[in-house]
Amino acid sequence: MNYPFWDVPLIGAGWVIGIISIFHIMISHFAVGGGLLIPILERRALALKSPEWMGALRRNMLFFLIVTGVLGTVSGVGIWFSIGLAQPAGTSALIHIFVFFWAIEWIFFLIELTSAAVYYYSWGRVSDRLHVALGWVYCVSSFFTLFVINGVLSFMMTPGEAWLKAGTMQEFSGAVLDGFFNPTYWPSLLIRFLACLSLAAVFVLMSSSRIRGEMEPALKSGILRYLLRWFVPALLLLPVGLFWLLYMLPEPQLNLLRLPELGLLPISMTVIFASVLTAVAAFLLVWPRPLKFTPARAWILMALAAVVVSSAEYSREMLRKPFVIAGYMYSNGVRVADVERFNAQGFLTKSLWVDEENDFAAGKAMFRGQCMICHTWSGYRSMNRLLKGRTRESLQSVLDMLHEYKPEYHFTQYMPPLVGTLAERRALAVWLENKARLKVEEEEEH
Amino acid sequence: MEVFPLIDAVPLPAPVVIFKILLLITSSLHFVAVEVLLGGILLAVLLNRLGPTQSRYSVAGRERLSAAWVLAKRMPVVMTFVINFAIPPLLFTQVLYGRALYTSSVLLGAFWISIVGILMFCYWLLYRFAERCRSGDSGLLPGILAWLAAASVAKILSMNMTLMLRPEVWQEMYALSARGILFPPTDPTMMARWTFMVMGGLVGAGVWMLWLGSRPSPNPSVRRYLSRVGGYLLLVGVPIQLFFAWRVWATQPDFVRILALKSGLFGASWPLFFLCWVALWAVGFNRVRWNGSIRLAGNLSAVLGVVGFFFMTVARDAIRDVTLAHKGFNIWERSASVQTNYLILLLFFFLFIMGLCLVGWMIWASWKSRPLPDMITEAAPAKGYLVRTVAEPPRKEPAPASAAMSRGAFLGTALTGVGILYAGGVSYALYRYLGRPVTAALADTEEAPQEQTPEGEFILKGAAQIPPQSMMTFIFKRRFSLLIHHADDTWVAMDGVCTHMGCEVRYESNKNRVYCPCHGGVFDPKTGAVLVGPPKKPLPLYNVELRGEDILIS
Repeated sequence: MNYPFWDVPLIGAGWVIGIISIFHIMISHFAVGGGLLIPILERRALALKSPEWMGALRRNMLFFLIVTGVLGTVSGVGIWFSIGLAQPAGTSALIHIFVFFWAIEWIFFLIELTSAAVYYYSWGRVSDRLHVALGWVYCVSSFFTLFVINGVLSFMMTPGEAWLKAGTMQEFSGAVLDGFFNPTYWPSLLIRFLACLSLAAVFVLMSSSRIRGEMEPALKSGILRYLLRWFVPALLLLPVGLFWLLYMLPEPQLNLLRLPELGLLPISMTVIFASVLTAVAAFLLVWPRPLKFTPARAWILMALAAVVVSSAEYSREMLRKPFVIAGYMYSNGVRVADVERFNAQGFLTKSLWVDEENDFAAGKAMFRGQCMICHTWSGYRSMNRLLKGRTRESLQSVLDMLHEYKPEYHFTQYMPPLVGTLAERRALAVWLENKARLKVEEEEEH
Repeated sequence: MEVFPLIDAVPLPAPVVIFKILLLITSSLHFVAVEVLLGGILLAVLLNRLGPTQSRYSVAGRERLSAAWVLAKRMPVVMTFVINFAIPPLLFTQVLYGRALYTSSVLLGAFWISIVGILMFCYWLLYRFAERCRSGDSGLLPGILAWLAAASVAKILSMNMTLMLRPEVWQEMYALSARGILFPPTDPTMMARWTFMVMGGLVGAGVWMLWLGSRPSPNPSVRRYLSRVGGYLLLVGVPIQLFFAWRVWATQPDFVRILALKSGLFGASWPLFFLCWVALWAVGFNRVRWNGSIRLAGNLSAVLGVVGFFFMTVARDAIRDVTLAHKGFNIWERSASVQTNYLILLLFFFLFIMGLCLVGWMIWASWKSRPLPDMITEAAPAKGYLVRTVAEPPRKEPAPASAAMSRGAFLGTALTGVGILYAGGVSYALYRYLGRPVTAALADTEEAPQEQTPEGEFILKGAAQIPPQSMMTFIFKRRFSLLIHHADDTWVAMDGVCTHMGCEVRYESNKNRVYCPCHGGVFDPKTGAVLVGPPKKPLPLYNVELRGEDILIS
């Protein structure tokens, strides 16, 4: 247990990452997809020589700038803050491996933000050609932010045999490109890009739904039908990307889909059905009567798109189990290479984060260091509920099973092993038993 | 014994010196943006406020309002760059100093993550502020709130950057709470660091205004005004920030000062920082006193400001390194585990240079574009108070039912909601931490009527009547104190202020203990001795003497 543990009551630190991430993913995907749509729409407006199209685009731009520049930027930094708090060991490992990739992403991010600001503030003040060029700079730079971060995210799920085999100190750095362009890199990139297009289109659909049909019928129907050309194919292609990703997954992770306790199969199916449903719904709601496309209908599409994106992200997170970096580091920050050492020499031997030198403190530190990244005491994945009614003996036997980590045990597919010496594991059992007993007493008192 | 967590098992992908150079360059750019933001907001608020105090159609009044607008409309963009330039320093700091930084961040977890909410709130306020300034309205509230938000982020950052240098207090904080809701124990350097950064805003804003004033514009009078105010700001701001730089230095422990003076990096950087600031002061003086060239003042102050902030960053970094090295963490020792990937490194530098060129080209293209007027004229929107002060009573124009307005309103409402929730959350957390929950618990216990004897003793009138297993509170020698009547009919009076962090303790008769609700300290209700928890010292006892129905405390 190298770093202190951040104890977030009820939801756990993991959900702090989750909440910020879901928010960020919606915004950042919108930003990347919007990056492509903006210059395309501006070109279209110039080709049509339509000041109405241009006006509608310009009205959207400030909204776009604020949403992506403010909410996207800050929530992106927020993810970074939250992973450093919830999972310092994993964050440290990733940053050591990919520091220059992240630095490259920052360069594209700098270009992206500058181009967005210059694009907006130079509207009507530079030539059309230059303005469209600025839009394309935004488009390319925002795509490359996705290109880079996708490497890190897909690496966490499938670092690939090449990287894992070279995972010794001497060969580490040479394998980093193998890790970056890992087996699921390209399918992930396709899925994310399609999600970006869909989200950007749904945001523009939403804002276009506010155009008054009776005042500007040509503008409204023109924009809405044009957007469908991007929205519907992107959504219909999304399941293809998902199947490609699943095809590229190694066997152990694919097996996670079959575990009923994780519920991953229905969620993955949700991605497929919801994306097809959204595409069909968008077509039916927009194409026949675009002038009747109201904000309420746009919200339906937005909700469906949110279901697609959040279930896809949830599946991706779960498919990584029981690791934070598959094959390298378990979700509780224990490196695979350290398991034997911890079992022989102790998990807490060099830890600075054991309050006192007694079993109770050791048990608490074991719990914090190995369990609390996924479990809270009485909230999300409540240990209190899981332990209810267990005796010390049954607790010890559960902990022993977690420690033995035999492949035939079901949980080994999604839970990390319990590491540490026998004394440390017994200390954990004592602490859990006491904590559960105190809780029962407290409940009885009330 | 090791006081820092272990170094990451993954080797460094480039030599320490590369990270160091990148860290210093990007940090200094971040600090430039931070200082421009902190000082710029305040200046814009001031100019926006002072504008209408002039004669309503006077040139001076319009210049002030216009200058406020020139500053305020750029604030969201400045904020964007504050955040953007914070990313690489944070990245490189995590690589070099992760074992210290992750630890201190976790110990301040709740504060650290709250930065996300504060930044969003600040951003929104800056847009509101810019809009108010554009229309000539008063932007006092959003402006001040935005500054407070930005300054509080600076406070949390300086708190963390100080805590990462103090491994000696980490375990104590962690033992008290793993939730990251505790302020670190007081350290004299913390406030000095923060005030230094905040006061640097005067210099940052001065440099920025001089530079803005030197750009071509269709409204030269506003630009001249900006440049002149920038000059005054440097005259005032440079000595103030130098004073606070001295404060930062003076509050450092002796060993840091001795080691820093021996460090070549520090020895070279602080005199250069000092020289840059003196030169900046001279630029300001030349601009104000002798009405020197606007163009020259703008360019010179920009160069001196950026270079000076770079040397300030180097000096700051040297102080950090010697502090950590003295406590057992020398970052240069990591040179042994470096596995440089030259391909990636070259790719990064190539893209870095190309990226900067592209950004430069875009900024150049934006300068070359047709400029917008900076002047708020008499034809300014009617809701501006420039015009409103003439004759019209304040009135709000009905909002046009355009899509943009609806979105703006929606976003405004959503962000206000988030802001209120956030402010509520932070206030509640602060209340829980700083508040004294015991006060509520004691609400049903009466405070004893008391009088003082000529000998300085206290007589608690009628106190002997309280039943066994109950307590009474009183103030003795200006201290909150407890009188406990035990079940065995013994009486104990003790100091009621926890010896740990000064919270008020309470007697819990059902558990027969004296309990501190702040951090869970438990004391013996008869002897005052510490039974459990963080306090180290017992609660002092007083002498108790029964006198009929009264009790004498001495």
